[in-house]
Amino acid sequence: MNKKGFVIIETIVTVVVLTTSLLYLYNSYSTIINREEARLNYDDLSYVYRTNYIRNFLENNTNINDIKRYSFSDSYTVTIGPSFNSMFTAEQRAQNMQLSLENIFTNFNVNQMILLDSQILEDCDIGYDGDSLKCKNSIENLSYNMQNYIRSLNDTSYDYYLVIEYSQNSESGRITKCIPGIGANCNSYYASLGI
Amino acid sequence: MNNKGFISTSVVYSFFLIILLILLFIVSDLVNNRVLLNKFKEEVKAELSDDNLTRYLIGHSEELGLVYHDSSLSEGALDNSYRYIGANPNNYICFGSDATTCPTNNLYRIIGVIDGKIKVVKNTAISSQAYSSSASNVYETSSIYNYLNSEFLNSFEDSWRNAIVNSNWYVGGFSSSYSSNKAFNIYDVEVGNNRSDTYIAAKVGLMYVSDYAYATVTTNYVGPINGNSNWLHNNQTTWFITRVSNYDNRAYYLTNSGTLANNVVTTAYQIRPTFYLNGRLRYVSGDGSSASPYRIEV
Repeated sequence: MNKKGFVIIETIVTVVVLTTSLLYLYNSYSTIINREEARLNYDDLSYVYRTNYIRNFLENNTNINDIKRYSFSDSYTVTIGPSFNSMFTAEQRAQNMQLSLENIFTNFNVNQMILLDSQILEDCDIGYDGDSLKCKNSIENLSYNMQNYIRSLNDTSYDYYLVIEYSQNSESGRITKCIPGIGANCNSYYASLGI
Repeated sequence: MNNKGFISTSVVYSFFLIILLILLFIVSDLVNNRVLLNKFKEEVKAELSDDNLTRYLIGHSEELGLVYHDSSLSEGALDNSYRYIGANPNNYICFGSDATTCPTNNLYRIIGVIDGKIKVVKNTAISSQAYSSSASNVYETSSIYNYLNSEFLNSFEDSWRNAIVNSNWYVGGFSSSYSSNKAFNIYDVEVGNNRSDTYIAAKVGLMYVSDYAYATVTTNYVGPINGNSNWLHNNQTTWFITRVSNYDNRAYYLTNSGTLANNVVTTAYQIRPTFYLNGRLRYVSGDGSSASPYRIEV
């Protein structure tokens, strides 16, 4: 019986197969961990409460109902903010609501705020080139990370959702607003609530 | 027997299995924690949203029986409102009282969420009155307008009165030629894009004809107004706020058989006050049934 060659070859083959499998598994594991790490920035409760505050402000002091009624003809998303046309009625502007919203944006480090028609979650495969024109219009002004966040949403109990991106970094212990992709160590946090 | 091969292979396989088990444990633990965390986040978001009655009605509209009037609803109002429909939906709300059992006189019914505000109508009439003691159907000078916005409104305590918002009531009316039209045509000339520009800002008014027309099941939207499967039909003759625009002394009313008619404004019919509540009201309890009406905090 030849004993020497059998042991070496078998061991080498086994090690190679198992090492390859381990590397593949580790790669999958890393992908899962990284994806879940990114999702930590989704709906962090402190940002959910900020979003709730902003939602209350919009419902009570802006023209949000008219925006919901008239702004979704060719897109499922509308980027809104203090400068958005028809955000405020003349009376609300006279009451300085525009300035108030600007201050909220500054203090809460809001980078982008969008109104989302929840129909997008059923009608569009976000990011897919074969989507309809309305779907493509909906995401063309959204960052890759914002698209990923919207893709993670699955609740359609409301017809419209307020989705907010908060962007900030921490320098010398101070939290300041930054621009994603430009500012160093700029982190984005996302939160959404039905409106 | 050669044991060396067996030992080395066993060591390699064992090492692999241990690594695999560790990875599986870490990933499953991570997934479990994430599922729990996401569930907790969803509960917090639901609680924040359901805390407000307007948002609660919108967010649960399907299960509560509210119909959304957007462009996908055939013959709908197209005003993005949410309206209760059917013979007897659970849309009761207690207004003006904190008593454990809501007094009959404080029981109202929610017409829907319109322009972000909750529109309610009194469940039972407060009285039988003329639309106007004078022969004119101009709402602003009518006796009913004065009564509703003084004596009736002042019957509430300050906190409840402040929950009622000032709203624009479109009182230009529509021609009697529209009387047998379907719901959308009436809505269009009464409150919609082709309405008269005549309006009055006030806290309390009466139902629109289109409020009644849209309170029935959606399959009835295609025909003339009738009382079938309509929760606003209570077998009593009731004034609407809407005047007959091609007359100067007539207004529309709901007949006791549930159809639309008009008569001279000095006739006495039931009065069911209608008003809008501000959208910030906190939802406290209740399922909207008559036994457990919605309770709000003012």
